[in-house]
Amino acid sequence: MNKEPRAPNILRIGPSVILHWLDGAESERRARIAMMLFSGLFALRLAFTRFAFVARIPTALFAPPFYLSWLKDPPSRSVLIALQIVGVGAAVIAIAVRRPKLWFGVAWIVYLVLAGLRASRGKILHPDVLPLLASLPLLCTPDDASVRTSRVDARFGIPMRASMVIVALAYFFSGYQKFVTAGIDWITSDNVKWVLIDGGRAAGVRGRALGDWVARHSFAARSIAAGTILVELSGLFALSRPTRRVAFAVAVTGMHVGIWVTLNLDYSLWIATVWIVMIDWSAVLASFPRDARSLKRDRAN
Amino acid sequence: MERSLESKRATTRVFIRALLVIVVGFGLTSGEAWPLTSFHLFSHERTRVAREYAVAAVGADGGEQRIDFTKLPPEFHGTDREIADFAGWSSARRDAACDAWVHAFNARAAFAKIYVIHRDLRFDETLDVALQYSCGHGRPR
Repeated sequence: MNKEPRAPNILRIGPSVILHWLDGAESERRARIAMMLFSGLFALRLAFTRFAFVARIPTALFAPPFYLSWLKDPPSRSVLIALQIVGVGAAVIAIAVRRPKLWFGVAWIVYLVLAGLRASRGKILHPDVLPLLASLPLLCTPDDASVRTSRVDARFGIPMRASMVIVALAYFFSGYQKFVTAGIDWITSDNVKWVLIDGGRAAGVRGRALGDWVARHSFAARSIAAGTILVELSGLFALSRPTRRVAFAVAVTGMHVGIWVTLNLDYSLWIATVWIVMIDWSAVLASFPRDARSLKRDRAN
Repeated sequence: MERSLESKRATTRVFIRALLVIVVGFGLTSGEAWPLTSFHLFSHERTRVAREYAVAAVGADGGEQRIDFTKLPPEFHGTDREIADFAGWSSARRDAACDAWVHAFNARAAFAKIYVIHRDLRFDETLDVALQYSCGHGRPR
């Protein structure tokens, strides 16, 4: 059972409370499973996303992120494919081996480079941002973390909890920036109605019909705006209890599915990241009798 | 052994706190250095009037055709967002960018015209159109 230090409280939220909570213990199993799930996500993203077209971006339009700004032209198609192969291979090895840190690091760097190159076309692409940032602290997980034992220690807790805080901050700042940029008008005006009408052109027939229905009903559009802000700002408060984290994961999944249906914007990588980080998969697995017996046997050995 | 573990834990703590300070720093400002971001996701309030750029390929006969970027090859998707940075670009780079767009759209097009359009979303109606740039090596000088 994880002993949680004083959790961030809705009335006592602040940097010192979060920093104190960050130092808490988590099971090594949880951290290792999160690394395995992120490795799987990296492998899928790198294997099934097209990167080769990056080689054809004209030099004048090539705007790489700061860490690739030394590149004057996009890399060649063969370099991009080689990177994809290395990234997928490293991610798969990171799932399989007992000491995954090096392979996890290689997969993370390849993902950072390829996703950064894909984002080198002027538009800020957010989908890869959350998996990249939230998985980074897990590189600090001790290399001896195992799925077969269940030591509970701050060594495993600090990286795992930092991942959770980054996910919560990402949503919190998404809500915060809406308030800072547009104020309460983001909710009380017809803002969401115009977002749905303008953005709905990219959606399918059913999504467009749903978006149009919401746009025609001001109360529904404003309720969705209020609900969006509420879900986003609740990220930090959700950290304190496992049940709240599950509720948060369900709520953001609903929000992203709604965005996907009505605006055709795919945030499945954010959904996956939230579920990887916010859910204690070691506890979920331990609730299956077979897994509990196997853990007990390994502990006895 | 104990000391080495303690030192590793201290290093982890420093790295993670530095990472969190950076994430918070970007979140509180409008800084963008991908993948570090301020998470401006639909943060600007939309009104019934939408402002957008339209790029038209101009043929040798002066005829214009609007470029639909979603129908160009994937290397061009989203590149129209770079128009917002045009003011800071050299004229040579602007010409090269416009040449790339018009030739991907129609190999025989001579140059590009970039318009700012205001649209009324209620009736999907264009309110006004203003020419912002003429660019590409074939443009009249």
